[in-house]
Amino acid sequence: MNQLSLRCPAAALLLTVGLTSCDRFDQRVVEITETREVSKHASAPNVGVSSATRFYDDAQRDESGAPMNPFIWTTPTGWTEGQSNQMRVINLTFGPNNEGECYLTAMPGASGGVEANINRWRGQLGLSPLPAADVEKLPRKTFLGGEAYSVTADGDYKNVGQEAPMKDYRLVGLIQQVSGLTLFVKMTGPKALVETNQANFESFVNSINFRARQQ
Amino acid sequence: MTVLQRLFNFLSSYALATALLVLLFVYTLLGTLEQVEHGLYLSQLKYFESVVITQIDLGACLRALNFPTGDMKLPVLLPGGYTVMALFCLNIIVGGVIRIRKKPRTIGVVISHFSMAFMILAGGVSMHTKIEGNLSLLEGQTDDQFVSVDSRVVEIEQVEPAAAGGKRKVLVISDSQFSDLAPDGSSGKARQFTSAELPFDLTLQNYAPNAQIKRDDGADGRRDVVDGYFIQALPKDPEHGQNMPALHAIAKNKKTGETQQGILWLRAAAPWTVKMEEKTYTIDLTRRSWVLPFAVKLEKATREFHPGTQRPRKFESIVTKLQDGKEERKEIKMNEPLRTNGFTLFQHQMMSGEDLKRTENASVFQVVSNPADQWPLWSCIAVAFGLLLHFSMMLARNVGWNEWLVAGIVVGVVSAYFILALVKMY
Repeated sequence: MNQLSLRCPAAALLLTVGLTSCDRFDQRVVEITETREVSKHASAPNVGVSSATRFYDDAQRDESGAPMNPFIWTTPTGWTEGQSNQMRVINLTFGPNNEGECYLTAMPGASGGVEANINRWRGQLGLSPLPAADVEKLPRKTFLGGEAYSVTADGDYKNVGQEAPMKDYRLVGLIQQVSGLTLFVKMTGPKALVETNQANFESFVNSINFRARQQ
Repeated sequence: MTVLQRLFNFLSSYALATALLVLLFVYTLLGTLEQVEHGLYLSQLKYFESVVITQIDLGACLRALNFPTGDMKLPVLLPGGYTVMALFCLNIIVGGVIRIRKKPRTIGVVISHFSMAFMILAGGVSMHTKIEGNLSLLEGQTDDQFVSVDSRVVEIEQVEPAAAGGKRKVLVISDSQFSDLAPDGSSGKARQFTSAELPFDLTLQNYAPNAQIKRDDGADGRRDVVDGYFIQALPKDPEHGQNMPALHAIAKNKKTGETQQGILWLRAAAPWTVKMEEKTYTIDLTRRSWVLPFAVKLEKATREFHPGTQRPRKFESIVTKLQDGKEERKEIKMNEPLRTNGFTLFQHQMMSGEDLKRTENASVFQVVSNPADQWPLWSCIAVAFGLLLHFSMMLARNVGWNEWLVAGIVVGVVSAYFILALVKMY
């Protein structure tokens, strides 16, 4: 049980008087008696973190005070820019009915690794997983100054949450680990539509950069 | 008749038992209706864990029954669920165990009454001693710490210089010591905390039970801004665990009187850092946590749903229990918890890697430490045995059989059943 004890009543009274302008100060000074050992599995505490980061407010802001996207890019002609969200930092659509999608996802850390994520994508197309040796043989593309794994795969596409797969789809994607992040650029859509937008994809990827690097 | 005799008669009366059972029925009804707006946690506290009930939210009850109505709060003074159950336990003991005519023929009734009192006692022990929280693991991850859903604490840890031997320790301020500091009208409330281990006293003030932290644009001339941010109170969520409380904290140097201010928020990405007397401390408003005497590694999490539904058919986790250098492989399934070292780990939730945008699945175990964990089961078995014995003997008397022979058969059959069950178990 925690003990409540009155220490230095006079000092407490003075403090109370000092704070009576708006606050009602409890005159008791409470001794902290409870302690807890921290698990050895617990992560080390983050020390010296700014208020902006603690309160998820460290995005750069524009003149109106609205948070700015941490990436800059050029949206290809004919493509439409959608609302970005936590999973889609850049969110674009294309095609006559916006059935083509292309988005950038940024996840902290390794995010499960390149091989697992490539095989997750292949699973969404109903394809069997690639062994690690085959993943390493995948072509690379320059992206954000590094070498990204490049994936092109065809199949019946079933995204997260979808019940029925969509026939004859193509997925074109890049996975790149950079600056403590894993970045995913993923374009999906009907195979013919994606083929005709391959050049747009290349120009979009080449245009992406960190906002901070540009300043 | 003396006063003591009258009290004894009252406590053992059917009238008291009836009144208490009626009250329990009414509380169950009111609690069920109120929880629609107030949430399960608060309704449970108000009706079933309270000593007295001082108010009934009739408006909320009527709205739960689809009667549109305004704010209607009825002030009352009624014994709370805790008091009612304590009285009911006393009533059963005094009436059904002490006062009852104790003859060989009533042994079944005495056993049943005693077992019912034991069941209520189990509820009391559980309420006062049970600790409960969640342990979340990704496949491949190991942890030995579980965190409460409802209970929050302020924790203070000296991080630099680090503790000798690497054994980290935190000072804990329980939410019962600061959750009453919610501002009252235009005035705030504050309380000071101290410890010989700290070079500062910590004042906590202006607790918001549910809040978000907003950046101050300077337009409103707010006085409660700390480092450019302020606490914006939000309406309380009926689900207590969903609320994100916040409060202001002031660390005041014991020697110099220098102060540092910070905002503590349950959802904050990192704790508030205080540097004082060449030492660094983190101060955090967080969920209460406990450390298990063993670690759990999640090897594999499997989930299956009934076809075309989100109704779970199978949630199953294969874990390794790690303790004192020994490893034991265990399975935890729905309704088949792992009971070990006084803790019970129930399969609570499961998330697929796709849901988490990760390659690993995750499993959440509800960890419960409750000395009275199995007492309700034992008391149910004892109640059933007592009633079976009593009704068998009554039946034997009515049909002209030897009631003691029948009682012997009942005792023999039940004993044989338990012996077989024990043999199968071990």
